[in-house]
Amino acid sequence: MDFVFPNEQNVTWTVMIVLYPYITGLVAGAFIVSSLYHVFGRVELKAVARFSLASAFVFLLFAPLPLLMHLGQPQRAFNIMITPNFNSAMAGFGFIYTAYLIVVVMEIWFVMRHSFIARARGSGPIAWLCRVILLGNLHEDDSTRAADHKIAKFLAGLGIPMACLLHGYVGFLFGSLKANPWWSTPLMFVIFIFSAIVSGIAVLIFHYMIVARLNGWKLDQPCVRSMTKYLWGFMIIAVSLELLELMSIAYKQTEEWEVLDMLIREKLWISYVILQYLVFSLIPFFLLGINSLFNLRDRITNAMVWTAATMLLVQVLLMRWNVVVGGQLVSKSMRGFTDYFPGLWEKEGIAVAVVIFTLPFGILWVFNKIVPLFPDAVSRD
Amino acid sequence: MDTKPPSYRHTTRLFLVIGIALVLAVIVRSQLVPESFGEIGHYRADAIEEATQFELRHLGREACAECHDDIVDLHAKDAHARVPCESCHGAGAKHVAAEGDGEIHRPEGKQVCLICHRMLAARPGEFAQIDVEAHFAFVGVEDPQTLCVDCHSPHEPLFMDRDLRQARLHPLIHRCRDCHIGRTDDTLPRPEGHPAIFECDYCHAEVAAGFAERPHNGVRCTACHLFFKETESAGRILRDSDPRFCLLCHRDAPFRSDDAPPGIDWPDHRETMAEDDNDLDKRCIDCHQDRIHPLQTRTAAAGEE
Repeated sequence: MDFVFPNEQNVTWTVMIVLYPYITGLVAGAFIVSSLYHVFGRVELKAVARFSLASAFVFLLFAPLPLLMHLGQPQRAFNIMITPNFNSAMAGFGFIYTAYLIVVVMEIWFVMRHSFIARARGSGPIAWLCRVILLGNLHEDDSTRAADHKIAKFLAGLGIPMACLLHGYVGFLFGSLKANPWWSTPLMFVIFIFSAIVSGIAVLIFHYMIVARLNGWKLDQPCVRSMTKYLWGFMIIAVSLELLELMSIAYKQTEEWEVLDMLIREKLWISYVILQYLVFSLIPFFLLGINSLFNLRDRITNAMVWTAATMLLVQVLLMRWNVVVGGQLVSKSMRGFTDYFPGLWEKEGIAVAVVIFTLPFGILWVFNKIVPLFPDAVSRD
Repeated sequence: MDTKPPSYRHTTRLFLVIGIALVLAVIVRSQLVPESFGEIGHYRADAIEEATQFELRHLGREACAECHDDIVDLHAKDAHARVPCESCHGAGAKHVAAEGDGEIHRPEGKQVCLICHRMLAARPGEFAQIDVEAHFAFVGVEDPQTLCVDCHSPHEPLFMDRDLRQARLHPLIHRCRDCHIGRTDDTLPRPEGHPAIFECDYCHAEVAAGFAERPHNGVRCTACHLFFKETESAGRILRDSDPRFCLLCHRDAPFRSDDAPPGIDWPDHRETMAEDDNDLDKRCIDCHQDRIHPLQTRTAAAGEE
């Protein structure tokens, strides 16, 4: 009869697991924007088409990093590829991620081949790197460009369901855990996909406007206005789905509602109700709505849209936090809660999370040094 | 307008590289899959054999009893009876191999105890759980650095005067938190209209009435009448009359505040009050029963006049 009493005071999925769906969402969202141009012919998005594809690629490179940081034995992560278990929801990530990465890399290769060739014809280490990327073949004419365009369009089309699958799968990981009432809903992966698109568009607006200001470029106003409308539309869908899910549980008054009600009122009141909905959803909703419905001066529009995009980036991060951490605060007995806040310098703490989230922006800067991500940028002067 | 038909020749190398990478991946994978993988399930069959070859690190309390039989016996009669030695002291194999010379963990600090005893709503109500702040306030400890072991011996935490397993069977005693999330104070009055539940005064009306008029009336019955749930309807109840149990609240100690329950200088108090040698064996309740509640016979408890 020897035993040690079970312990529910530790939250095992830390801020790293908050960051994982967040970065994965940025990938999916950025890719969708790129595909709106490459597949659906939304030419007004041309100014950010390459940038969004590169952003998707770079965030994709960093998506597994929080997971690896979370693992005690990260080298074992590759076992899911070596001895795949097709019944494991966790293992799914390895396959979906790898397939999606191949598609994105190939799409970048075909979309940016012209730019790579231009750089490869120069000299120096970057030219040498570009020749390696091009596999030594620098031949280019109208017929190769036509082929590149066709293949890129096909890959962009193929990438859309894969982007949805990748991020939907992340939502599935949570939604399929029937033991957790805060996660267990078939709507979870739909919510994750739409919030991913919101965060992806938001990060593009946020980053594009900063880059344009730092470089003294004129913003492509039709592009900004178009992204504003997409962002507004997708955020309405994402937030509505989340609220509908919540209302559905609350209205049904199932047995788990008792504890979820307490979770929302006591543990997540600030981060969920006040911040996620009342501040970081409602204000961007009005800011984007005004700019989608009325034609304001460019300067005012840009300031409002940048503010809204930045707030929505925080909103989606809060959503990830409230889902991942919130779900773990509830005891399996449905009788009470535990607490969690990451430390600053822990292995899975805030400093590491900030570094992981900042690194993709640095890599994008390097990417831009190799091939221009805004080839059509025009100076303000 | 580009009218030239597309030419795919420049993509040959790319698809060739992808093809080679895929073939290489398949070859590398075939080399990395362990030989016995999948023979009897989705894992290495050899892992089972390898696991049996590991040197045992936890030896069980029988190994401890070979040298520390006095402590193991003491441990076996008290509240920690079902907690194995190695849960607190860590694996004992090295200690045994060193013939008792070190190589064993001696837990320090409160956190070790709180791993099991921290107040958590997830834990069943009958399990001993401590909100340190509330507990210190209850027993009048003013120094927050005070350790659990300053009052409770880990091997004999409640100084039970009998083996718990030999204690009397008693119908299940409910606690508020059995039904109410987060409610820990069992001394609060029931609100009007509360469903009838089995309570102490249901059988022990005379005792409960007397108790309410005496100095201990803010203490719930089960603070002294230790109750351990055994089945869904019953458990063991123990009236602990070991003086050291009373001293858990009443010991005069430097870390206690002025608001603490009256402190007793033990065993000087007993020696000072003793009129002859027979009094030196007296327990607290032999003199102070009237401070707690009137005694009650079993027949009265059963409802017979």
